[in-house]
Amino acid sequence: MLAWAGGSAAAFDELYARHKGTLYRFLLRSVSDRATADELFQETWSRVVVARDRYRPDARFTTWLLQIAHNLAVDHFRRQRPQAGAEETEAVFAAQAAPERDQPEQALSEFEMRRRMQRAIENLPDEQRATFVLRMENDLSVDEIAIVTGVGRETAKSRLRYAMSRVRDQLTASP
Amino acid sequence: MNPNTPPPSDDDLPDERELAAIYGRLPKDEPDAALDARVRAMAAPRVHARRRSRWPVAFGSAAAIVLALAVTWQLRDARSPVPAASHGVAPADVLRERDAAPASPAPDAAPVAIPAPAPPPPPAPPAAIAAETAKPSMRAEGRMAAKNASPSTVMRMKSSPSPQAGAAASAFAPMPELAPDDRVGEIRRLLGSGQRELALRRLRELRERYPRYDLPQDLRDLTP
Repeated sequence: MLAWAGGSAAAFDELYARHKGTLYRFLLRSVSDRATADELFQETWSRVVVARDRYRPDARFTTWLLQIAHNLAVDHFRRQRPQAGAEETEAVFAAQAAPERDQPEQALSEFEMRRRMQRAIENLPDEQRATFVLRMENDLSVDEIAIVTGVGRETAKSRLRYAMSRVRDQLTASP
Repeated sequence: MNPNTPPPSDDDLPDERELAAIYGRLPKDEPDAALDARVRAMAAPRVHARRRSRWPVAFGSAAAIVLALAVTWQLRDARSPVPAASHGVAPADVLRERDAAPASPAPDAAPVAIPAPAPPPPPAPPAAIAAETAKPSMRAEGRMAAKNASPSTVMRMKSSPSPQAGAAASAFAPMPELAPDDRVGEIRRLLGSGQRELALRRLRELRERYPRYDLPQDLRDLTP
């Protein structure tokens, strides 16, 4: 990043190749729409290009990049539909019964497992979905998720816990 | 996330490995080539623009510095005294020369307008020349006349090798470049010394050279 900020075009190519996949999948699974994901992906890099002179190496570039993308995704959600409050989300989650948790991948076919995982992610509330994808796709720690999503560490950890529990429930649910 | 790698140790969650393994089987979606090209194009002009923008700034700065130095140098040259710089003379000497300059004009500066030289009159006869050279008073009168003459005339008279040769030259040569009033005085001097023929010739020269000059009555009486 610093090399690119210093004017090296090759450095940008390397930076882009390293992060484009994980960033794109984070956005695609956050918004569940390829056209929107494309739009947000391009906008994220546009923000990076504009703000690269202000980048400071005191934070990981991955964290900074995903923070920009997450903020854009949140803005997108706000434009698309009214956002459910945290209390409402928790109430819906608490009302669901906890199913059996016996090795879900052994009971379903490979294709079905992927389909259910995809659907489970899509059905998560926005904050939980972002938290879950940041954990699964980008392998971020709870602290980094808290930074990217702009919440406290405990909130991030709680969201992650709820998201994982809900995904597992949907994987093991009867079709 | 690689399912074989353990999750971060600070926040292990139950069943996370199993979920990560299933998640890892999802398709690895990537931006298509068109989107790649758009993003790269978005970043490329900025890189090139930054590279291009440095050279004009560098050249502009260098040109401004050179221009400023040149102007400063020119102003410095204009302020410094040229004679002192070119001849190695101390500034005090230059100032003394400047102060003294108005009191003594340059030798080649003509203080008064000098009439254009007239065509040379016919040379005087050798006898008359000899008579003139024999008169020492005449040389004195010549010096008196030369005193009022122009600097160039004085220079010519001073360059004569000897008094005799100078007198001969003045008799043989045409009338020196004198003002009409001086010529009148010269003619009267010649008449007073008994050199009537020479005086008449000088009178003719005066009338030819200054036809509108108002001759004194005594000289008009000499006109044949």
